[in-house]
Amino acid sequence: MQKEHQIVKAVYLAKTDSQKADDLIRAYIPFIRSEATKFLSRPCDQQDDEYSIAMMAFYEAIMGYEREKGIFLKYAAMIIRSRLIDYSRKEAKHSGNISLYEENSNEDDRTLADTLADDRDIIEETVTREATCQEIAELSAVMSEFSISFSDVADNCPKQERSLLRCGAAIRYAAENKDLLQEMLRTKKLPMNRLVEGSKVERKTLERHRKYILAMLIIQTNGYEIIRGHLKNVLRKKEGVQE
Amino acid sequence: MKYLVVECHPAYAVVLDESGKFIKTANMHYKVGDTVTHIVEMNLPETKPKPKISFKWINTLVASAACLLFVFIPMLLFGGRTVHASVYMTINPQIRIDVNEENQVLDIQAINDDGTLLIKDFSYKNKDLEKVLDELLDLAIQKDYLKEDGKITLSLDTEDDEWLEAKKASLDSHLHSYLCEKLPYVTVVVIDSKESIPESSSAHESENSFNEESKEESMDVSEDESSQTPNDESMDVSEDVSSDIPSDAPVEKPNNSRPNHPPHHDDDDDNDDDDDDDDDDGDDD
Repeated sequence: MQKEHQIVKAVYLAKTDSQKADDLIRAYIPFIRSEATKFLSRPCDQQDDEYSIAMMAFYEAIMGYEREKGIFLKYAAMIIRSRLIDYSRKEAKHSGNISLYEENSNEDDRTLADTLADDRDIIEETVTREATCQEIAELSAVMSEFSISFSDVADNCPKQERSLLRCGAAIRYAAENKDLLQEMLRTKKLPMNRLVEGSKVERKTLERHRKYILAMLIIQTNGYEIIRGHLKNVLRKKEGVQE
Repeated sequence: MKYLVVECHPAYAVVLDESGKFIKTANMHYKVGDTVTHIVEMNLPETKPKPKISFKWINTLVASAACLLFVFIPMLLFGGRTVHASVYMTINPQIRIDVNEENQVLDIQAINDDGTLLIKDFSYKNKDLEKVLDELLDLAIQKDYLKEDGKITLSLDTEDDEWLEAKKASLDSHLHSYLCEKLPYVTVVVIDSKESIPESSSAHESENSFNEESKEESMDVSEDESSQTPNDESMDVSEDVSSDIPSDAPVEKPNNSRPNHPPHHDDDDDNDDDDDDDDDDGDDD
């Protein structure tokens, strides 16, 4: 049981350390792949969506595991299987759809996706993607000055619509008061008092989603046009209906 | 809904939707900067504020505190019940009084039948040594065990020499002053029990009812009272005790009979042989 003990220790470390989590997952890729293969009854490799699902499931297992749940790998296998079942059900709903990447029966050597009209030029798209990548990299860098990462922010993000909107109000207030943003960039801290005062949002809510709000505020500063463009709905008060 | 991929890991990705929500999803071959429309959202346990790990060590803390209490409470409660010293009081009735460090009386035991009668119905609860002695003396007088010319011997048994020395003096003077109003001509003797071992004996009227071996200087002759200094006598006695020779003690109060006399020697009222008796061993009785 020495091995199990080591695994459990690694799992608990991975819960809070994102780098360790990645390492642990990488170490168990063969395991993950074999579990997916078992489920699919056909070889599962990196190209398959199921592979991605199974990997995500393993990550979920790391986060959700407690010693009381028994042997970790058995628990992980269960989660992987569970997710793959969910996925296959969802896919079944969309059955009849053909993959965009299937080869055209015309033997054109072009896939279906290629023949579909794009909204934008491919080149343009690539350029945009490059620029987006750049912005995101900068954002990530600034965020690390505040000691937050995207994963942190995702964990900290409001899940309920109500909280999301309330935070949105605070973000809007900050966007309209550039000096607040400047202060934030300068002090590397969230100017909570001003936010609470200005946006009239409950302090408790803002505190609970501190990291998220920090990230969103940084985005409101100079240099993140593309990202802000993506977020067009955030700045719209309540009328922005998202599905 | 469009999702902007902002971070990629082997097992998941983080995307940003158009409403400003950051979401962890499966990494379906994403690259940072991609915009996708179809995601598989990760299913994570609701991140409530985790119960701090400190909860667990609080358990240990409380458990240790409880254990310590279990260890110390008995000590605190029962510390007062440990017998620190025993005082054997002999008039005729002989009783033992146990006291704790605080001079509270823990117990009284009768050593002879008269003793039993004496302490019958007597309560020592919450009384200190002196009070109990006083009350017992009163009882003894009342029940006629102690009369004029009587003698009271207190033999102190304890490991605590300081206590012994202090008590010897204080009890002696205490009894003397208590009695001199009530009953004159009573002999009071306070000694260290190491010098004499009390044993139960039948009641003797104004006799030295201590055991044979006790060479305590408690004079049978009760003429003497306060002139005696128990301390001195005890010292004398001790010299003699060891020898067990019925020789006259070097120090002798004139009125008193010799501090040591052969075990079964009658009281000196009868004999005037005192000075003659060098080997009195088998002389009388």
